[in-house]
Amino acid sequence: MKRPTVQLCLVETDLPPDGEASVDFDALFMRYSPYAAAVAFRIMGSSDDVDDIVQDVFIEVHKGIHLLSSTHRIKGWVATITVRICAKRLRSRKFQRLLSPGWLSLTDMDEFDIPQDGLSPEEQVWLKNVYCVLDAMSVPLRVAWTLRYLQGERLATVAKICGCSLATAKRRVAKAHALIRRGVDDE
Amino acid sequence: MMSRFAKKIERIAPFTQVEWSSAKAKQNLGAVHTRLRLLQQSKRRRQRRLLVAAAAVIGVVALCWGANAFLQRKSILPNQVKAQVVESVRQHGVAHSPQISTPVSDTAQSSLRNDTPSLIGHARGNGSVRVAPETALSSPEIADTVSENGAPLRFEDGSSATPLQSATRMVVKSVSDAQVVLALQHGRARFDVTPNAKRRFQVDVGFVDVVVLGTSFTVNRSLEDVSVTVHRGVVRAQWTGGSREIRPGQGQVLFSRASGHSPVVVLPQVPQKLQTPMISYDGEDSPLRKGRDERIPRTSGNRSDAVTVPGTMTMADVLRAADAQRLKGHSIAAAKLLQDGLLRFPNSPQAATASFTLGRVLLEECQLPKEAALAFFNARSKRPFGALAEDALAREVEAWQKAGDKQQAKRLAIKYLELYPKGARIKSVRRFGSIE
Repeated sequence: MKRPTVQLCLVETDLPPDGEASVDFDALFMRYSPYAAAVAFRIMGSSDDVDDIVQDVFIEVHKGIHLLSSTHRIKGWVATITVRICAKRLRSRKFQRLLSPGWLSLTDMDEFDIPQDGLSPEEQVWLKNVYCVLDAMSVPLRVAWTLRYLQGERLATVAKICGCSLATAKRRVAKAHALIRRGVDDE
Repeated sequence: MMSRFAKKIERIAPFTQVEWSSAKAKQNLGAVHTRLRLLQQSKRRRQRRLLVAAAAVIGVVALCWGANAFLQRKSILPNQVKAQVVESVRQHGVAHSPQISTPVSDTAQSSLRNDTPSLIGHARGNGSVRVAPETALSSPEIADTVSENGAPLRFEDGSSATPLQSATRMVVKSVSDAQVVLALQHGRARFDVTPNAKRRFQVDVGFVDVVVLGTSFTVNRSLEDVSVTVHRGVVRAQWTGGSREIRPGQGQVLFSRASGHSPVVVLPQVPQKLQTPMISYDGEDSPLRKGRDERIPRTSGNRSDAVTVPGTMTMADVLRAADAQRLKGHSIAAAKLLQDGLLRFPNSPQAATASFTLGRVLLEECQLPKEAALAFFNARSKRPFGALAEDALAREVEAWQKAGDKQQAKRLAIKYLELYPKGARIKSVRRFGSIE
């Protein structure tokens, strides 16, 4: 298949003087894999699947790399793919839990890979509680809230990444926020 | 105003970072490349498998097509079988047809001999057949004359015999002051005879002799039937057990062997301008017409058995027309239609069906089991693995039994039992094949 040439305005490396270059997949990976890994980690709450998710994301990127245009927002595209793959895995995980014998039991807090550095023990417990509540809610709500509050994206970006309208994104974030506040109950 | 909860989240969020070093990224990049390579390999494998499957399908289709073509080339029409048998008898004195799986029985051979006396009725003791004139000729210049390849025969008194087809073959059998005897062995010819009351002009056309009393007429001979059209004067057609005078205006008189040598089909005289639309359509009272708005062809004449197949008809039309004739009780007309249809469309996909139907008509309605057996043989030889093959074989057993050839019936019954050990017609095949 013919590899199209695009202006890698977001990848500064290997750019010829006229700004045209064939897409350097390795450069794309090195530049956007940390971002994809961060999004995947925050959504999943664990570093177990992050490697697999990042690889899946960039295999998808490789498949669609010929569709890239000069004005394409690669970061948003990578985020969209990451969110889609994470959502798929979360749904799959929920389904597997339903089939497991102890599906009625609460989520084990140790499943979540909470960073130890810089957080007090109370904050670590609180964060684990947040993930437990997130785990109980629906995937779209979880993804929207995570992107908004943990990833720190703006609501318009959240809507774009989730593929919904801004109003829907706001509604999901608000609903998830309310559920978490009620679940954590520390106010 | 930001709530305490939101502030807490804002403080904690930056700490939710995954460890993603450059080394880890490179390690994952290597894994991605490996997976991409594997994906491409599996894609190529899938494409290869698809290609192989497509090639296999094409090969199977080509094989089936070739086998079908081979089998179709192998299948032989009864007419061709008969022609081969006639030729074989002529040359060797015995029927020998290596190309067909079912040999023609002795009854069939004798039938062929009886039906074509001018061809094979003069066999010598050693089995060879003389086609040359057997009577001493009074006009030596035309002795042994055989007209072939369209060459006309002219006689001293001005009479002539003109072949109308390149395949026409005529033999002068005898010439004397009292009579001239010609044999039309194959094809179509026109005879212009100078009137002479003292000299008889006779044309032997297989089982029919046409005796002329000064006239002009056309004779067409095929393996199955003979047709005579008189243009001027009168001719008398005579056969074993009867004769008939034919005059101008009576149109084409057709003699079919299927009727036991009687003139069974008389095509009425049709005005020239109506020659093409000879086939008209049934009236409102037709049972098929009532059921569905289809055009059912029938002949323009009043006789139910005056039928022909015009060029505009397809095999499907022929089958429909034959059904219509059968519904009206005109079995002979239906048989003639089917026969003409088979001659016209020998390679039609519906030829096997037509042949099977013809067999049923001949067996059940015309009481002609021998001819029916040949029709059934034709049906199954056209489609050896078709849906009708089993029924055709079973009915062939029945037909041969009714024709009196029990040996052939038994042989075919055994073949049926071998081919279809769980066939639906085993009972009747055992009964007609005399197998207990």
